[in-house]
Amino acid sequence: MSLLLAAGPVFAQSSGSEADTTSGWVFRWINFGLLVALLVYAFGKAAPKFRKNSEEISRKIAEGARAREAAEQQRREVRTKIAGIETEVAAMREDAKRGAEAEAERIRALAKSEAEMVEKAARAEITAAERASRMELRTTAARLAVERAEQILREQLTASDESALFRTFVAELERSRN
Amino acid sequence: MSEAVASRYAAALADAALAESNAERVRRDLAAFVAAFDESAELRNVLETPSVAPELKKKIVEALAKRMDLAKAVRNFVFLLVDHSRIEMLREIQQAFHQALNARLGIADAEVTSARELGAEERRELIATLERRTGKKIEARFREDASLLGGAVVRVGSIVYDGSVREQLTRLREQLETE
Repeated sequence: MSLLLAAGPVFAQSSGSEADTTSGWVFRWINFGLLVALLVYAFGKAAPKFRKNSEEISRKIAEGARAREAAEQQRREVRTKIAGIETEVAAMREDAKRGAEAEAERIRALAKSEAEMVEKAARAEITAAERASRMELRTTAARLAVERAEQILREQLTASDESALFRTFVAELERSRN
Repeated sequence: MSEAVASRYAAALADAALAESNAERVRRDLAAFVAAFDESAELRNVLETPSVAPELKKKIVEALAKRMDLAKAVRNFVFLLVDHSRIEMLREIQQAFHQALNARLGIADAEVTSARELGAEERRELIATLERRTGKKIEARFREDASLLGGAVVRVGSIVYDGSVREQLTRLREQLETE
């Protein structure tokens, strides 16, 4: 139909004085026919390409629709999956907070226990050092006292004292026999 | 080991000496032979050298026994030691014999250490006390040690009676240290 309308001006241009003659009408129709043939030929050549383009466009439109549908499906799935995620995150945060508090409490208890042990060891060490010092002091005092006593004995012990000591020893030997 | 061997030889000699009723002479003669043995390096060399024949050793001992007028039991005992190659244990055996004989005779050795030299009366009194205490005859050796300060220390066998001032001071110090 559009080809026929395109051929229309051929008739319009041929109007005038010679246009009303028979040969003029023949040429007009021949021109018209050639133009129509040319148009049909051109259309025949271009039609597959148009059809191909049309199919390509239709295919792409379909693909776009499918992609949109897939995207929509994916969006729905994601929404389903992330439904309640905030609650879970909050619960996890709460768990982590409780865990951190428990760990802090455990560390505090451990530090306290270790501090008590250190204090206990220090007290024991102090007690031992005190005991050792007292013992050393007692030993030193005893040694000095005995050394002094020995010095006095050396200076003041007489022969009669020694004889008395010997007799006492012999008497003790005799006594312990019985 | 050698102590046990010496004790066996000593016990045998003590029994033989007592059987012949000349224990004190055997004690004296054995001590004299040991003194000669210690005195003469040549005698020791001959008797202790394994390469010298036992017969030669016995001849030398025989000659020495005659010259020293040793009891027969002592001479025979030295022969026995030569035959058994135990002559190097002579001193040890002599000490063990002294103890073995004393034990059989009811004699106890006492070693008395005093701060000063004891008088004769003090010695007699101490020995009499020890004899009453041990029930044995006491043969005492006396020596002095001024570091005892006073009193005395008596050792009879393995028993020690310590009546020294030094010991009393030691006890006093231990008491002060523990109080």
